[in-house]
Amino acid sequence: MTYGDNEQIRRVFPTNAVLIKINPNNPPTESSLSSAEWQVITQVDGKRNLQNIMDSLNLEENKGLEIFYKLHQKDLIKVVAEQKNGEEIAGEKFFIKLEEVLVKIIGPVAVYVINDVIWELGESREKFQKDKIPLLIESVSGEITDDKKRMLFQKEMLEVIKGYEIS
Amino acid sequence: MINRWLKEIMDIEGVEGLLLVSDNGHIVEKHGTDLERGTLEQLSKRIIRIIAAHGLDEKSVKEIELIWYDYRIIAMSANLFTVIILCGSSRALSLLRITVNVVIGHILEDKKSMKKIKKFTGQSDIVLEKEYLDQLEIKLISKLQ
Repeated sequence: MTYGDNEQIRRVFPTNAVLIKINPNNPPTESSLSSAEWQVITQVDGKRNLQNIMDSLNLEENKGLEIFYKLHQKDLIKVVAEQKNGEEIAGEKFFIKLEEVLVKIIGPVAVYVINDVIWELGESREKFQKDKIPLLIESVSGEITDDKKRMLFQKEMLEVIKGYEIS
Repeated sequence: MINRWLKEIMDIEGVEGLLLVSDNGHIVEKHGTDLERGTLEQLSKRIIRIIAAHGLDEKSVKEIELIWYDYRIIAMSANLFTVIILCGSSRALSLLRITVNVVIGHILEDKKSMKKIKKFTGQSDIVLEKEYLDQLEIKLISKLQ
C-alpha cells in the first residue's frame, strides 16, 4: 500500500468492528478473485466483523484491510453496520468543549466549521462515537490554515482527548 | 523532558517503535524497537532523503507515510529533526498524528531538547550524494527541476 491508501480504506471501513456481507447482486466467481481474496470471502457471513475474520485467518491487519478494500471495490462485499457492543457516544459535553476551544482560536465561525466537518464525515453530533474523536480533531485541524493556531488547537484538544480514554 | 513527550507517542495503541532523527538521518533518540541500529539508520536516511528531495523545490514535506517490512511508517518532519514512528497497527492513526504534531511543538519550544538535536544536525549534502540515490529518487528529483 502507498501513502494515503489507509485513509481511503478507513472511509469504507471506519473501524475493524464493521460487519460485512456478500453482495447478493454480485456473487463472486472463482476466476475474478485471487486465492487470498477467495480465502477471505469464504469467511464473510454477515455476522462476523473485519477483526473476527482477520483473526480467524491469522491475517496481519494491513494485508487484511487491503483485501477487504479490494473486495469492496469489486462490489463483492457490502458494509452492513458497525457493531454496537461497547460503543460510546462522544456526547454534547464534548462538543461544547470543542466549540469553546475552537472559538478561542478562530472565532465564532468555529461552530460552522465543526458542523461542516461532522457532516463531511457523514456523522451527527447525537450519534458521534467517542473513538472517532481523534479523526474529528484532525479533520477540524485541517480547516485551520495558520500553523501556530493549528498546533495550539491540537495541543488543547489532546488534553481533552486524554479525559475520554481513547486508545 | 524529551523522553516524557516521546513516551506519550509510545503509549498510543499500535506504536511499536519510535525514532527521533536529526536532519542528516542521525538517530538522536530510539524507543521501543529491537531492530538493529544499522537497519534503523537505513530507514531514517531514506526518509530524510525523501524529505530533502522535495525540499529541493521548496515543496516542504511535513509528513510521510509508507510501508516498510511489517510496519506502517509515519514520519513527521520539523526541518531540523524528524520523528519516525513504526506502527504495527493503524487503528489510532488520527490520534497518533495529532500527538506527534503536539510533541514536535513541545520539542521545538524546549531549548534543552533543541540543543541536543542541534549537535547532530547539518551535513545534509552527504545524505544527498548522487551515488546514494536510487532510481526512484533520481526520477523524483529530475521532476522537480
